[in-house]
Amino acid sequence: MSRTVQSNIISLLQRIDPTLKDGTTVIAAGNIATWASTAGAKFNPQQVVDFYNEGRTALANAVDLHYPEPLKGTVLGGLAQLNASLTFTSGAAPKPTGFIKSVFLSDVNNAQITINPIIMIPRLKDLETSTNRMVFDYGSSFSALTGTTNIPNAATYKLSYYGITTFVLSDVTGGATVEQFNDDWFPKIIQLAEAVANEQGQQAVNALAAQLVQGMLK
Amino acid sequence: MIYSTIYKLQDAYRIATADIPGFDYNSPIYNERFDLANRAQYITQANLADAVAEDYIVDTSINLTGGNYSTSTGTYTAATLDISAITMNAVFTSGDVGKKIGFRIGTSTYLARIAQVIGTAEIVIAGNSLPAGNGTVADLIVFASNLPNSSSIDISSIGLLRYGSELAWQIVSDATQSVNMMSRESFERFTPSWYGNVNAIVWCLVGTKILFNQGSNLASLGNITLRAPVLPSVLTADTDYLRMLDGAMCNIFITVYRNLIMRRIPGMNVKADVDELASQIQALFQSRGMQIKEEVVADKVKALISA
Repeated sequence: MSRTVQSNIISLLQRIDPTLKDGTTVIAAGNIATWASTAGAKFNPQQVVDFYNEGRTALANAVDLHYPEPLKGTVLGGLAQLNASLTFTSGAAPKPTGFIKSVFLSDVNNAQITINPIIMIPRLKDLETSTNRMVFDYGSSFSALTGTTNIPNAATYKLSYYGITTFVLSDVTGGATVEQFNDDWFPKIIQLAEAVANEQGQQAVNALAAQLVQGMLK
Repeated sequence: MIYSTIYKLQDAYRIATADIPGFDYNSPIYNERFDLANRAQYITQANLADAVAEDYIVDTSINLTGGNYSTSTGTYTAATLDISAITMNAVFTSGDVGKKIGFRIGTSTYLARIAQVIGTAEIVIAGNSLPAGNGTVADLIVFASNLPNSSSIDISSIGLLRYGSELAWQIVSDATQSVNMMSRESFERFTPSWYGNVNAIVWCLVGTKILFNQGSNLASLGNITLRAPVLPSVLTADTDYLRMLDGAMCNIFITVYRNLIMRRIPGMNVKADVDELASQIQALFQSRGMQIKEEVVADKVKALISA
């Protein structure tokens, strides 16, 4: 994880929109600020950042879908996040921004609280106690069936999860923001972002992502 | 009751799940770990009882103990068979339903049983020859649920392992050293005054009750202790030690536990650990100086993984 978002975007631009609006000046690190303010010959800067973010999300989803659990953790290690101040109020906590998949939720003492799909409510509802805690995945939040009974209000819950950052234009112009994915995934991100830029549909992009990540498995 | 000195439930869960490729630790199975572990304990013990039943023998006192008594008078209403406003040394609870009681109204004494607990100081009773009129209840006694009644003791509240049934049980009394199990037929023909029986206590099991009879020289049954194998006590905390003997039994338990966990994983192709279980069962019997035939091992393995 040493490649910056800026260098990746420049690589993407070389494929889909290599020059500034004048059609002749090649976009590079030295004129990235000019590109950000005047756009490329084909796409405006926000479009390009969107392509890039969509490519990354498609890649993360494909890895999550197709990789076995232990290997997934290795590949997505760069996307692993810890929120050590998750706040439960009245038995509910909002999912973090960019949340993809939870790995481990606990209280401040590392006592596990499982996160379950709501289809499991009938099976689990009678098992909840203060030493056998659970929450359920409801839309944009995690919620306990019994409110604060077993999940007291606190801002010290710990959530380890895979989450993907949505980069913004300043991450590109600043030059210091580092891509979350490990470096060996860089060509695939570019390839997927290019597919998005070429207006391939989501189905085609997802299929390409699946093909790319399964190729890495072999 | 035996306990592992090595494995707590949390250890068994960690070991069992670590052997499952791709196990999702954030799954409903975590919340079901107690249910599954308790089931695994019962399966393991039941199928290996011929080797381990003795490990689970405990002494249970089945004497008249633990009853409660009134510390004030109460009001008896004949129409509703209700006793109310009576203070007990320990308040009535729903667990008192079915227990026998004795009480006094005036100079008459009565026996009944608790049909319903209305409140902490109020009950509805049932029985024969109860008072026809209202009155003031005094000296109310709630007998323990295991009260010997007509020389029988109800043992349904004891979680007994019924392996070998009463043949594996022992009953001792401080009234005599001669306490003998009998068949129902022999029990019915027991003659208390026969010279060989005068100092003996005999018993037989009928359903969930142990029937007793005693020789004519004995004033009472004495303090009776039932010495019998029981079911493993329920695991309720991650830090509870397994109710399994260290060694082969713990290993077998973990394999059975893992098998039960794998069955709950959608799409998991459960591979039964047949060879592993077979060798562990062999080890268990050998460690106890017992022989076991291969076909018996195979039957036990089948029972353990398909239970």
